[in-house]
Amino acid sequence: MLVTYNWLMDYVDLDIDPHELADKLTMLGLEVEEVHDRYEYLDNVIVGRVAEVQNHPRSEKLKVCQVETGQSTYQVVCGAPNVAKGMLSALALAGTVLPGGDVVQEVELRGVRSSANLCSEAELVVGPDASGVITFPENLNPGTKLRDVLKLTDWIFEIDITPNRPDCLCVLGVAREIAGMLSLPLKYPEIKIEEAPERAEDLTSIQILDPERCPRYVGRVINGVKIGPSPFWMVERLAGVGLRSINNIVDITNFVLMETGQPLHAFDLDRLDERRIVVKTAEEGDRFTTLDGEERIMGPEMLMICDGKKPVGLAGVMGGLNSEIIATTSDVLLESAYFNPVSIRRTSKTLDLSTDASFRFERGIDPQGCDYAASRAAALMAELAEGRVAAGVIDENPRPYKKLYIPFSPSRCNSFLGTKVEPQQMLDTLGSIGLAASGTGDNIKIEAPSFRVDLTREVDLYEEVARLVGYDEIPVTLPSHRGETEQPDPSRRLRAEIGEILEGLGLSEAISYSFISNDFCDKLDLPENDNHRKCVRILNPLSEEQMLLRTTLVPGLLDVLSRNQSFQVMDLGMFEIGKLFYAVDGQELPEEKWAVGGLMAGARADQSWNNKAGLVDFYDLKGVVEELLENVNVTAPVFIPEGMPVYYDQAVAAQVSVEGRILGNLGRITTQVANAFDLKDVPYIFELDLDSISAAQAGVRTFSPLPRFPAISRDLALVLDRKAEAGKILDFIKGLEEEFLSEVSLFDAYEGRQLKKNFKSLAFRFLYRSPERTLTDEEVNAVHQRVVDKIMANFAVEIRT
Amino acid sequence: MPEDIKEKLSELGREALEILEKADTVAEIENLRIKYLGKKGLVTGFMRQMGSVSAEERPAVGQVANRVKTDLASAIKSKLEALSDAEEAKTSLDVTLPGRRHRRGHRHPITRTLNEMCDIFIRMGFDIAEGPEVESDYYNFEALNFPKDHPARDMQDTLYINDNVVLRTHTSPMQIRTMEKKKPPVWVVIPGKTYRRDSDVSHTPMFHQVEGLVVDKGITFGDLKGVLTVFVHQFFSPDTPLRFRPSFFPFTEPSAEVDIGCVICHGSGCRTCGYKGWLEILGSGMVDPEVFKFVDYDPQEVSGFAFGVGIERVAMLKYGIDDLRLFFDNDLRFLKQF
Ligand SMILES: [Zn+2]
Repeated sequence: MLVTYNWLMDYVDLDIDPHELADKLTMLGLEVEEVHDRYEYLDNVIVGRVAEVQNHPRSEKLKVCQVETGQSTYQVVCGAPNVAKGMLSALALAGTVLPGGDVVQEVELRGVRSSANLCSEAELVVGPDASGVITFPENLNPGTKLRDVLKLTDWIFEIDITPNRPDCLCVLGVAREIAGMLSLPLKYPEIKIEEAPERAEDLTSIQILDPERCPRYVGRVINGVKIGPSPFWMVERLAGVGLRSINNIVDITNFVLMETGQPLHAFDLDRLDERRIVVKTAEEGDRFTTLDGEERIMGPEMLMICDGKKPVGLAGVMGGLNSEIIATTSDVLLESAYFNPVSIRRTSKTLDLSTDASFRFERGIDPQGCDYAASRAAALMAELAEGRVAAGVIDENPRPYKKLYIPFSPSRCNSFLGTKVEPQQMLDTLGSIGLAASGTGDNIKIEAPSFRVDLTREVDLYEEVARLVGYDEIPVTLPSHRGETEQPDPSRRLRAEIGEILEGLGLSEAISYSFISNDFCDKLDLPENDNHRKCVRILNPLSEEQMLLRTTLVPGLLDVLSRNQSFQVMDLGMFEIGKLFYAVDGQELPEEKWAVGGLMAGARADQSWNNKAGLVDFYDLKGVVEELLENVNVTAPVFIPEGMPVYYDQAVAAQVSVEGRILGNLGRITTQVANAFDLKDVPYIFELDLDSISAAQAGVRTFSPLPRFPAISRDLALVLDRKAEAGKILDFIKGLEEEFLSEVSLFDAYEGRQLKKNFKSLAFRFLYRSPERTLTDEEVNAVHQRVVDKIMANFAVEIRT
Repeated sequence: MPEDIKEKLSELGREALEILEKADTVAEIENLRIKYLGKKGLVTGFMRQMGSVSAEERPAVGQVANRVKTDLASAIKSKLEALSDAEEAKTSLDVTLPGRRHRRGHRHPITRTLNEMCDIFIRMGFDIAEGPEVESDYYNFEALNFPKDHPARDMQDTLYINDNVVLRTHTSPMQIRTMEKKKPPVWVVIPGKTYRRDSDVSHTPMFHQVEGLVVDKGITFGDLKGVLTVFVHQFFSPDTPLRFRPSFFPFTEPSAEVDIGCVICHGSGCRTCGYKGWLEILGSGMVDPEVFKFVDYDPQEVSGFAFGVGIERVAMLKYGIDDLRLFFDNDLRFLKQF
C-alpha cells in the first residue's frame, strides 16, 4: 500500500521527519517497508537554454535544438510547438525515468541524434500543461535542478498492511492512525453538495436479490457530466500512489477509493437497460466481459451487478465493458456498496482476478462508510466534471450494521500483558483512535468503530492497548516453569546419534528437498509394481522436478553426487537423515518414515603426502554400516546378497537384517542408473529404515566383567572355494559351544597365485581363555583341535599349510 | 706387581667403557671423560704410579695405559658423534608438514543451527515435539484460526496434495496436536521441515522452522518477551538489541514480529538489513483464544504464547551466508566450512 506524505498532510498537520514517521508507523504495526524520495526521478532534469532551433531535415513537425546547461550542450530533437530560440526549459538527461515508466534515452530520430528530452509539465507530473515544453522565467540559471526551481518535496511510504487492518488500506485510514499516535486532530474532507431538483429515486432504482452477499448498496446519480482530463492536483495525487490518470470520472472513483478505502464504480446510466440496478448471483456458465476486455465464465455463486436485462459488473471485483464510462457519457450512476468478504474472495480466487476493489472487499471495508464515500465522489463530480448531483441517496440496506460493544477490563488487560498501565491511561489511549468507552472499573464497554473489522473480542482490545502504549513499554519477565518435562523422544535421539556416528566416520550431511522429480522411479529402473512408486503427488508443484514426495533417499543422494561432480568434487562421503512418504489407500495422510542414507564415491580419504588412499569399495561401505549399527547397539546384523532393489549392482550389494527384520540395503549402484543421474563415477550407497533400526536395538547396555586371566591364541588358515561365504564359517564358529573359546576373528583373506584357481584362503585367529585360571598349552591344544575338527567336518575346506 | 697394575688398568678401561655405553647425554660423557682421562683422572692417576714400576717394565705398562687411554678416547669420540647424529635426526623432523589426518564429516549448518536453538530451549525447560510434514488443512490452517476463504490464507503460498491435505506451511500444526494430547502446562518447541510454494532469491520451497509454545496459568506478554530475549541473547550474543513490534498472525493476538539489531552493521544500516539497522528474525504472539477453543482449553483459565523462527534465516545471519540456495545445493565445499 502506497501513501504519500503530502497526501497525508491533507488530513493531519504533520511536522515530523518522514523517516521518523516511518519508524513510528512500523512500531505501531503498520510496517513501512520503504520510504522513497518521490521526486528522485527529477534529479537529472535541469534548466536548459535553447540556444539554437533548426528544422529537422526530414520532418516538418520536429525541430533540432541545441540546449545549453552551462556545463555542456545537448542536441535535442523536439516536437513541441512552443520550442523557441532563447527560451529556458526543462531538460531531462538520458537515464531519467519518467513517472509513466518511459526512460529518456539517447536516440536517433529520423537520422538525427537526440541525446536528451525537453519536457512538458504533464510529462514530468509537475504541472497540468501538456501543450508544450515548460517555459521558465528568464532569471534562472541554466544547469539549476528542476527540483530546486519548483521546490518539490514529497515522500512515498510503502506500507505492508496486515490482512487484519483493511481500515488502513487508504490514506485517511493511515492518517487516522498517525493522528491518534501523535495526538493530532484528524481533518475529514468537507463535502458540500448542491443537489439538483431532480430526485435520484426517480431516475433509477436499486434492487438487491441476494442480501447475504450484498448487505448494502448505496447509489447516487450525477447527471450531465463532461468527461475530460482531471485537474493537475488529482493527477498528482494518483501518480503518488502509483495510479495513472484516465479521465475525470474514473479518476474520482479511484481517488475516493484511495482516500477512504471504499471501492466505487461509475456506470454510464444511459447504457443501463431500464436505467436500473439489480444485484443477484450469476447463472452458472454465464459469460461476461470485464473492463479489461477479458470474457469470463461465471460460476453459480458469483454476485453480479445487473441492469434491467443483463449483467453489467462483477460485483466488488471489476465492472463490465458494456457499461463503462466513455467519452460521451453524460449521466453517471455511482455505486458504493458493501459486499460479503467471503463471496468476493471466492469470486476473485475462482476467476484468478484480484483488483484494488476485491482486495479491500475481501478483507472487509467499513460498512458505515458507503454513503460518505458516495457523497464525496458525487461532490467531486460536480466540482471537476460539471455534473448535477441528483437529490437524495438511494441506500438499499437490507442488513443494517449493528453497533458492537466489547467488554473491557483494565485489570485483566494488565495481567494478560504483564503491565501496570493506569486504567485511565488505557481508556485515553483507546479513545485516541476512536474507541469510545463507557462504564467504570473493570466493567467497561468499548464501542468498536465500524471501520475496525478486526475488533470483536476483549483480547483484540488488549492488542490495541499494547500497540498504542508501545510493545517496548511492556516489561520483560520470565514465566515460572512447573518443572514437568517429558521423556525425550527415542526416535529423535536415535537420529541425533546416527548423525554423530556418520559424521565421525567421515561422512558429511546433506539436506535435500523432500519432493523429487516426476521421473525418479524410471531413472532408478524400478519395476511397475515397485513399492517406491506409491508416491504422494503434489497437486500444484512448482515444477516437474518437484512433483513427488520421495519414497527413497537414493535419488537425492545421487543428485548430490552429480552436483558435486560438476564442481569437480569427486571424492566424497555423504549422508542424509530424512523422511520418506508413502501413499496409503484409504488414509488421508501418507505414512511418513524416517530413513538414513549414505553415499561414498571416489577415494576413501583425502589424498595426502602420508596417506595414499585407494578408491572406496564395498567393504568401506559395509564398514560404515557395521560401525553405525554397532554404535547404536544393534548386534549381529546379517548381510545377505538377496532382496536388493534393482538399482543396485546385484553382484556388489547386500541386504542387512537383524533376526529376520530387514533394516535396509547397501551396495554399488548399476552403471545404468549412474548414467541416468549423469554420474561420472559409480558410487556406493546404503539406505536403512530408522524404525527397523530402533526395533533391532538391544536394550540398555550392561557391563561384562573384564577377564582376569590372559588368553592364548591359535591361528588357522583354511583353503576353500572362492565363492564360499566367510560369514557362514564365522557364524558357525561363534555358535560352537566350546568352553574357553572366547573370540574368533578373520585376520587375513587371500586369493592368488599361491593357491589353486578358484580357491581362496581365510585365516582365523582364535582366543582361548578361562575366567578362573591361566590355561595350559595342552588344554588349549585339545580344545582347538576339537574346533578345527568340527569346522573340517562341516565345511568343504582344507587346512592351508 | 706390574701384572697387577696392567690388570687394574684394563679393568678401569672396561669399567669406563661400560659406563660410557649407558651414557646418553653429552654432559654425562663429559663427566666420564674428566673422571678417567682428566688431569686428575683415574687413568692419569695410574700413570703417575709409574714411579713404582721398574724401568724395564715401564714400557709394557705404558703400552697398556696408552691403549686404555686411546680406546676410551675414541669410544667417547664416536659416542659423541652418535649422539650428535641422533640430535640432527631429531631436528630434521619438519613439524610444518601436514599431520596424518582422518577424513572428518561435517554436519549441515541447518542441523547445527537447529540443534543449537533446541538446546537453548531445552535448557529453559522446553520439551521437543515433532509432527507430520504432510498435514490436514484442519491442523495447518483451520484450527490455527485461518478460516477457509479468509485473506490470511494468502500469507502463505501452499503446496497441496488435495483440497484437504497440504505440505505443512509452518510447524504450527503441532501446537494443536500437542495441546490435543496434553493439558497445561505446555512448554514445547517443534523443529522441522516446512514447505511453501515459493522459489526465488529469498525463498526456497522447503525450509526449516522451530516453533515454540508455552501455555499455563498466568502467562503474559512480558513472559513472551522474556523467553525470546533469552533465546536471542544466547543464540547471537548477550548484547544483541531486540525489538518487538505489532504484527498479525491469525493464531496469535496480540502478535509481534521480533527484530534484532543488524548483526552485520550493528544498526548503522547496510544491504543485509535494507539500511534499516534491524533484521526481522521471528514471528510471535499470545495464543489467540480461538485456538484454545479448538483444543478445549479455557482461555479464562490459561494463557500462552507462541513463536516461530526460520532456521535458514538465523543460520544465514549467524554464519554470514549470503545465498539461501547454498543450503540445499549440498556442495561439499560449502558443507566443509561447518
Ligand atoms: Zn545492517
